[in-house]
Amino acid sequence: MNALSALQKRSDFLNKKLGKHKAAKKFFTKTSLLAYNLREKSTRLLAGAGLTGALLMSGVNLPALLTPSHAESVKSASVSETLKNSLGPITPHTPTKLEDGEAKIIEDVILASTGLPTKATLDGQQLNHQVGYIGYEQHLRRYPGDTLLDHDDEQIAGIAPGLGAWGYFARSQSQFTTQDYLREKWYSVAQTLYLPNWNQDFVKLRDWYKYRKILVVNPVNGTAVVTVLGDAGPAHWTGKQFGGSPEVMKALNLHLGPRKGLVLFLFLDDPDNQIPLGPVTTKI
Amino acid sequence: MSIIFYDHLVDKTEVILLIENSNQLENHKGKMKQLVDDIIHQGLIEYILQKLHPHQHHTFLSRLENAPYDPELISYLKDHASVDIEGELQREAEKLIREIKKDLST
Repeated sequence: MNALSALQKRSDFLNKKLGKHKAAKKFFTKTSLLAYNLREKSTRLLAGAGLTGALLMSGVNLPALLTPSHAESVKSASVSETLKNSLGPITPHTPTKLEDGEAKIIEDVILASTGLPTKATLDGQQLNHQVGYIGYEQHLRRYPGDTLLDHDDEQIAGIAPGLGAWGYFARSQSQFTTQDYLREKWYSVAQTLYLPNWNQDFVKLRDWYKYRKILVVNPVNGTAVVTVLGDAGPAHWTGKQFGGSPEVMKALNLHLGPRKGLVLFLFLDDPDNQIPLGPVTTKI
Repeated sequence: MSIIFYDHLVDKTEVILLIENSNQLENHKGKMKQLVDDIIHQGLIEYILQKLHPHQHHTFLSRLENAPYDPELISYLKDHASVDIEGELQREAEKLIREIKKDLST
């Protein structure tokens, strides 16, 4: 028996052994968990200039996505590619309150890549985290009588039984505006309730944080979404620091599987309300 | 950064060099390198599934499928399989590589 046949035999043996686990049989039948498929998928998510060295060290046949022609296409960088390549190497991969120096570097990178002025601290206000895990939230009721069927996207998410921290977005369906529609569609959630001065300065802070514009960036794939704070949470015990509407999570490509991921979460300095809500696709 | 979450625990350099320096046909060398990757992957996943409770298999495999690079997979395994899962996977990978080297010498 030659070496190739011996390796093939060993691979077949291990594959059979894996198939004895009920869940594994199901997954491996779909072939999505084969090493090659996983590397291809992972590479699609991670490929970027800062990762080339690590990829080459893996010592295996790399997927076609890593051919020189792919590297060339990376150069024609879109906003998300620029963000991915520039933020990946400098963003902590754990929930963090950024130091002033770290925050400044990240703010500058985002400004250069997107034209958006972000701030870790704005008007003296700062969240407990600027890097943290974001989770998939349900739709919020926008006006009395609003139902899930009235929401035009991601109905699979369901609708929260209670109201957001600021109540309805509009007093009634007849007063429901496009601005309200966009605010619910692109809402985010932060743990304002855990701010050290929340209870003492409740009225002032509630008004300051209500619909405050936030830029959420997924440093893994460089997607970015302009959102407004639409609710308070999640609870400490969830292990998450932020939340995103179903549409926000979809735009960040965090709407499948565990529906959670590490993001940058920064205030947008937009006193004249000029920056539109939704995914950032071009530099402004 | 790992492409699959365990990559940093596996050193395939020696077997890859053995294949590269062998007198196999070029297309066979490519196939052999892919098989090495498959064997280590199958072996490590099988090892992990043995360590996890069957109720956790679906969760682990779903998370792996969704984000193969995610370092949190190691944290999940530390919580649910073994606190020294990194050391164990490293040793399991070394065992698999020894077996692969035997195959390559046939």
